Parts: sequence; structure tokens; C-alpha cells
Amino acid sequence: MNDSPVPKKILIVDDDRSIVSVLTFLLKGTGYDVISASSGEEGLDWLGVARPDLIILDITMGGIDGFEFCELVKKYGTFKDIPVIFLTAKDTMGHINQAFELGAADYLVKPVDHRKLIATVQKYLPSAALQAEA
Amino acid sequence: MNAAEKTNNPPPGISGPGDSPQMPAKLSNIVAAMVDAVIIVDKRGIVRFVNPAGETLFGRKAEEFVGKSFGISLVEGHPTEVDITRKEGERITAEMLAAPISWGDKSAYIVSLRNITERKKLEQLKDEFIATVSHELRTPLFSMRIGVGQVVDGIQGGLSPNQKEILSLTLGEIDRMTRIVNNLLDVSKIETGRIQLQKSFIDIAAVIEKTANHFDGAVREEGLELKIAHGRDIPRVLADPDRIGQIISNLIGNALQYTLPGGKISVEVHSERGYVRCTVADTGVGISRPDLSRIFDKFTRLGNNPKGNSCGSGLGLAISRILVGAHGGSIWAESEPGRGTSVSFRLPDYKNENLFRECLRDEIAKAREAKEEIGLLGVRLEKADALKEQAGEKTGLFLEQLSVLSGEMLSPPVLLWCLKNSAEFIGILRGKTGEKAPEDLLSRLRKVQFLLNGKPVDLELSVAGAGGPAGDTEESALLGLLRERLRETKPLSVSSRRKRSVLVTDDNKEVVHLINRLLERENIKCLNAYNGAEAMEIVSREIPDMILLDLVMPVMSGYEVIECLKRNPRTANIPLLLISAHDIDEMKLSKSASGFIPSLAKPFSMDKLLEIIRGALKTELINISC
Repeated sequence: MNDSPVPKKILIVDDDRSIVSVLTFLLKGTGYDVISASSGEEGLDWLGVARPDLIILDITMGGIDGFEFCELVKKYGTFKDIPVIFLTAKDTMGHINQAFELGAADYLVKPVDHRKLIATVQKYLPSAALQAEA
Repeated sequence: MNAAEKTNNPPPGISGPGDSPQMPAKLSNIVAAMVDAVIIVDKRGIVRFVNPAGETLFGRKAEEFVGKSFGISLVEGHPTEVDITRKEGERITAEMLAAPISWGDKSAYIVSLRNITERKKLEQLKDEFIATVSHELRTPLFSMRIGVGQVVDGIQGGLSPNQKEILSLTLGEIDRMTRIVNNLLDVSKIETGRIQLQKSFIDIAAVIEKTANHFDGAVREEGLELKIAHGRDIPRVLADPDRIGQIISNLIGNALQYTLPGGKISVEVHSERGYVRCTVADTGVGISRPDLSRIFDKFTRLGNNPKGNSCGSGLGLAISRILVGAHGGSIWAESEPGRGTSVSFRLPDYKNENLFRECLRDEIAKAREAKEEIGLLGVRLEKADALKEQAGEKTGLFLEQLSVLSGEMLSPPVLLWCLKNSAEFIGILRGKTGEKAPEDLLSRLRKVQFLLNGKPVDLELSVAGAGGPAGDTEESALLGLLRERLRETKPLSVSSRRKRSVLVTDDNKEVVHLINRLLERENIKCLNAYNGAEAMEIVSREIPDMILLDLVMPVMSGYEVIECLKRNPRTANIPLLLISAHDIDEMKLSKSASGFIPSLAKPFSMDKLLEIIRGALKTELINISC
């Protein structure tokens, strides 16, 4: 057992900077490490540099969209076990089914309560290095 | 008196044999000058008269019309929208109203049409606008909520009491704005028919309590008292808990607005004669008689808001009415100005057999009037004890969910009532005899494995249908017939342990032998046929999970087999794979069946065959969490 476990790393891919900012604060405040990308391409760049333990992914982005990104991630051996959680405003069954078919671990529809978001992340990434004080 | 009034000449637009009556000159001026098109169509559908506006609408002169077939079916009693292609090819939309009229000594129809193409464009623009704006507003609202929410919760450090209070208020305002935006989005979705409900059997009293508790703070602030009460033994209702919460929030929110400090709001839930009724009552300012009939209309807000602030979009009750309707229920309001208002809605208890019979009687009557057929689809759980052993006290909940999922397996989905203590699911099919539905459901169930909280559950389900022309049908006889068929039918084992079977049909014994060896290793049962007739004989005895079919065979060819299979609802959905050494005769194939049938040309690799078979036999796992 480690004394000071390394915080788990979450990659957020979303082209909305405000959402990325508040989510970064939220996840860091809960004890995770956060890297962010504002496009699918940037997300792929990050994957080349650092291996995240979880990915939070929007769908609508210019260039490579969330579905394409997820498909690419799940194709490569090294990354395909990383849980991918979609966080998007799209709420139709078609989108939800497509996400799960591409191998998504979960699907959250914006707007989602911040507590539910944390609970979902913790489901796939149980140990946070520091616990938040409620 | 001017020249036009004195004339007796037939007004423009009338032509044809002298069966047209004389129209007094003033009236003929009206008809000639009207902006709406007026057309007289006789009982055979032939146009007898067109006014100038009609010529403009259709872009044709009267001579091109009169004496020819109108070409558009008429609907009496309410306006309909029709698409019209003008002479130059331009397409417009018109609103049409038809009514009977006597034309000379014969009966005919007077049809008025108005060009609503512009109006429809505007409506569509409006809908798109609402949807886009609401969508655009949601993003910053979400950002704000995540930001303020995490600070209020202390995730970014401690707060002073004042800081916490101010940010809590801000959070409340963000939520309020989100509700308004959601309402707008709802309305535009509802108008374009895009609303989706996630129904399951829920404890409505619990949902109501949870929702009402959200209002504790607001209630205290307004100096009011909120009481929640419910009768004993409220049955679980089939509903979308979020939407029920939305309706209750709307009703309590309204009560808060219209009740002055010192007043009371009560929320009650009762079970009444097959329905679950929920009433939100207040001791507020009340609503006058004329206003009471308007409150469920869109964008209606009453002027007598005692608290002054005009919050809300006037959509809440309109949305609530639509949501209640989508649940098969009804909503109504009673009020006494100065004393208070109560708004109630009731939802059917889809486990109540008396209510089911009542609804069935209703549907039979409606089908009889429309000269349609009526049918029932039934599913019965056999060996309930085996399930009880595995599911224990969750058995009831599991079965309720199963009834919802089973109904959703059909296309279009069928609402299945959960009767006889949840051991029997029955759905009413109007316009159909219930012949195809059981087979569709069975073919779906063959590919499915249910899990209870992640653990596999083995079920034995009998599926049957009954029905016929509504004119010959009576409620208890139909129900009795269905139940009898359920008793007689052989149940399907919905379980991963059921050994899958593949019918291998080929006149080449070598091929059949090879495939047998391959599939035995996969624990798949092989049924072998060496010609089409043998194949059909096997199918008549037992339905295989898949059929491998050669095409060119003696006695009965593969093409004929396909035709037979597709004709019978029992066998129409069995996955097929054509294995043929020859080129497939596409013409012959398309005569036997429409739609795509996969094929694998010989010689094929066993690996490929196995891959295809595994894919076709793949079991879909459906988890029910209780």
C-alpha cells in the first residue's frame, strides 16, 4: 500500500472552454489530476504524451467529433481499456446507443448535477488521492 | 345599382352543363372577390365550380378544372392540410375545409382552401428558433451550475455563512432559469413530436415526497405550510419518474405563486377505482370560472398574481397536461375565487384487472365504430417458483420491469398491462388481430437473456395472441380465449442455458457433416435436412435459431423454402444464411422474399461460417436492476 498514491488522471475533451474550466476545478478539487483538450485532435495529441485513467468526452466538436475520437481510442491496444464517459447535450436514443456501441462506459446528458458527475467518475475511477470535504 | 348587380349572367368560374343554379348577383360578387378559394365538388369527386381565388391557388384556369376529378380526398368536420403542386410545379400547402351543400337538385361538397405555406414556414422557423436558443442557453447554464455548485458544496474550500447563503440563492436562480429554458425546449419538442418517456413501475408517493421536499425552503420563505399525505397501499404506476416530478414541481410552484403568507398547500395521493390520483391544493386567491377553462392553454398566465413577479413562461400547465396525457391519464382543476384552487391528475393503475377490462371494452367499442380489428397479446410467466427462488422479494419489481421491456421489444411498442400478480402481461392491439405480434415478440425473446442485477435469470414464457374483427368481439370472451391459448401454448425458455439450434439444409452430405462437426464443438444443436421438403418438415416441429440454406436442391429448392418461411409469421423472422455453390439467382430470390438475405458462397472457410453463425446467435443481455 502506498502512503501517497498518485492521483488518477482524467482527460477532458470538450470545445467549450468555460465547461472545461469549471470541470477542471471540480475534478481537481475532488482529488484527480486533469488534462484537457479543446478538440479531438488535441485529445489525440495528449494520448501520445500521457496515458489518462479516464476520458470525459463531448460529442459536438469541429474536426474529429466525440464519436470518432471514441472509436479511435478503442481501436488502439494501449488505450482501449480506458473508460470513456460521454458528457454531452445530445440526449436521443440514437446517440446514446451509438456511444455504447463504440464502447463507452457511461453517458451523461448536460446539464448534469455536479454530484452525479463525480459519482459517475468515481464508479470507474474509485480511488481519489484526496477526498473532498463536503 | 351598378351594371354588375343588374346582370344575370353567370359569374366567372361557372361553366359546364346547365345544372348550375343562378346565383344572386351580390352573392356572386362575394364569391368572386373572396381571397379564399371556393370549389364545388360533386358526389363523384368531379369539380363543378371554381372561384377566381381557386384559379390563383392552383395556378390553373377554371376551364382546366371544371368537369375533371378534384383529385384530393375530402374530410368533413375539421380542417385538413393538403399539399398542392401548382401548374408551374411550385409546391404549396393549403388548409382545406369541406362541408355538404346542395347544388341544384343534387348533393355536393363546398370546399374552401387557404394558402398557408407562409404560415407553415414561420411555424417551422419558430420551432427551430426555440430549439436553437434553448440549446444555446443550456450550455452556459450548465457551466454556471457546475461552477457555483461545487463552491457551495465546499469542494473549493470553506465558506462563510453569508457566502454560502448568497451562492445558494444564486444556485436557485440558475435552476429556475434552467427550468424555464427546459420548458421552452419541451414545448418545441412536444410540438414536433420528439418527446421520449422512460417509463417504469414507480412508487409515485416516494417521487412526490422527494419533489415536494425540494420546495421546503421556498415554502418557508413564503410563510406557507406544505403538507404531504398519501393513502395506504398505493399501487406502483407505470410512469417516468422525472416527468412526474416535473408535473408536481409545476403544480406546487403554481400554488406557491398564488397563495399568500399564512396559507396552506397540500399534496395528496390516493388510489381510486383503478387510478392513482394526485391532488395539489392551496388556500390561495383562486381562479375565476372563465379563466379556469384557459389555464391549461399554452402561454397563458393569469393576471391576478398576488405576488406581482411574473415568473414562469406560461407553459407549465400546458406541458403538464401533455405529459399526463402521454401517461394515459387526465388532469383537471377546481377552484373557488378567494378560497383556493386544487389541481388533480390521475394515472391508470396498469396492474388493475377491472380497469384493464374497462379499457378493453372501450377499445372494442372504438374499433367497432371504425370497423377495425382488435387483438390481444399475452405473455405468461411459467414456473414462477423458480424465479421467486432466485429473485426473492424483488420478484414483483423484476416482473414489472420485464412487462415494460417486453412491450418495448415490439415495433411499434405495445403497452403491456401487468396482471394476475405480475405473472401475466397483456396488451391491447387496435387495428390488428394480434397474429403477428406474438411471433415478433418470440423471435426477439429467442435472442435475449435477462439479468437481474447482473446475474443471469432463466425464464419460461408463454406468448400468445387472440383477436378478430371488433364487430364480432366481446371483452370477456376475447380475454378468455387469450388466456386459454396461453395455457395451451408451449413456453419458450429464455435462458442462456437453452441450447441453440441451427437447421443445416444442403443436398451435399459432406457439407452437412462438416458443418455438424463444427457446430458440435460450439455446443450448438444441428438439425439436418437434405432437401427443401425435409427442411420445412423440421421447421414445422421445432423453430431453429438459424437456418443455413443451400439453394439448388431436389424435391424443393432453397428459393421455395424461403418463400414458405417468409409467408408464415412463425418462421418469417428466423435468421437465414444462404450457402450456395452456384450464383444466386437474384430474380428468383426477390420473388421469394423482399429485403436482404445474407449469403456465403461455396467454397467458404469454416472460420468465416462460424463467425457469421456466432454473430447471428449472439445473445443480447438485458439487465434489470431492482
